[in-house]
Amino acid sequence: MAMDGTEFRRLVETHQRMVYSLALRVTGETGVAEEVAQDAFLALFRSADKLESEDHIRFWLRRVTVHRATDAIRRRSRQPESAAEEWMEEQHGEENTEALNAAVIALLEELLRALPEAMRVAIVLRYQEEMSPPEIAELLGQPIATVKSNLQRGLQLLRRKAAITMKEYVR
Amino acid sequence: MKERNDEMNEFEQALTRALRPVNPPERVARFLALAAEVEAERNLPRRERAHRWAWFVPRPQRWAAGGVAAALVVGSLAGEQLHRRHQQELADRQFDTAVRVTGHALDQTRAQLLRSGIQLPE
Repeated sequence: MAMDGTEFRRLVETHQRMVYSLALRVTGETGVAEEVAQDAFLALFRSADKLESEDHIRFWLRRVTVHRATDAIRRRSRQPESAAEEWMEEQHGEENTEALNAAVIALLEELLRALPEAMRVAIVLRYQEEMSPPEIAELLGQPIATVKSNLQRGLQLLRRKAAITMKEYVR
Repeated sequence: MKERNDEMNEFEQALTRALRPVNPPERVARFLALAAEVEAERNLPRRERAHRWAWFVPRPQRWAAGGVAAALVVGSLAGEQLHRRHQQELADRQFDTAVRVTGHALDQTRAQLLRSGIQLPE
């Protein structure tokens, strides 16, 4: 697939929400998420010749974004919880919170940031990108059993922590 | 999505809502548009990046043009040498003529003086 400026802008337009949101939820920092998103798209621009279809591009972008985001947080070797306030300020002014209590969303986001990296990545791919465990396994190059385990343990941890403050959302 | 939601429990549904994709700041798209332009320029073949005017000529003709230029330089130097040699020869001939004229004039003068009884030294 040849890439020119117009095509590149279209791809940015199409995928920027996905790429940025993935980066944001994996890194927990808006600044780092922006850098990761920019890096991922620039890498896309340079690798366009190898990508054959829209599905391939989406898969490729997800994988590159997750890898770069995890690399970024390892380089910084810091827990992402510290950026929670910054993130909440930016996101919760948006209109998509009307159906759910903003406090609940904020709490879930914060709990997610406290998860170990592997579980956090699996949870984000599963519940943000709505990918199935086999799809996540393919994207991350992990066995399906590992992905399922990370999802299960991640959910358990989230539930346990959430149960302390939001019992009404936990069965 | 509805089927999946049915399979998900309430907690997972809340998680899905919490993890809705969000828009990046405008500056991300602006940066990427600019970066794409820079990147596209960088990816252009070198001849299209700089000195475009000099690279319109196809490669074989560029070699021919280079050869002609070199020939002109060499020819110019050779011509300069020939010109100098010609000038030198001309100067030599003029000198010889001048010497001959001077010698002839001197012989005439000597003959006149001799007729007048004056002997010039050789």
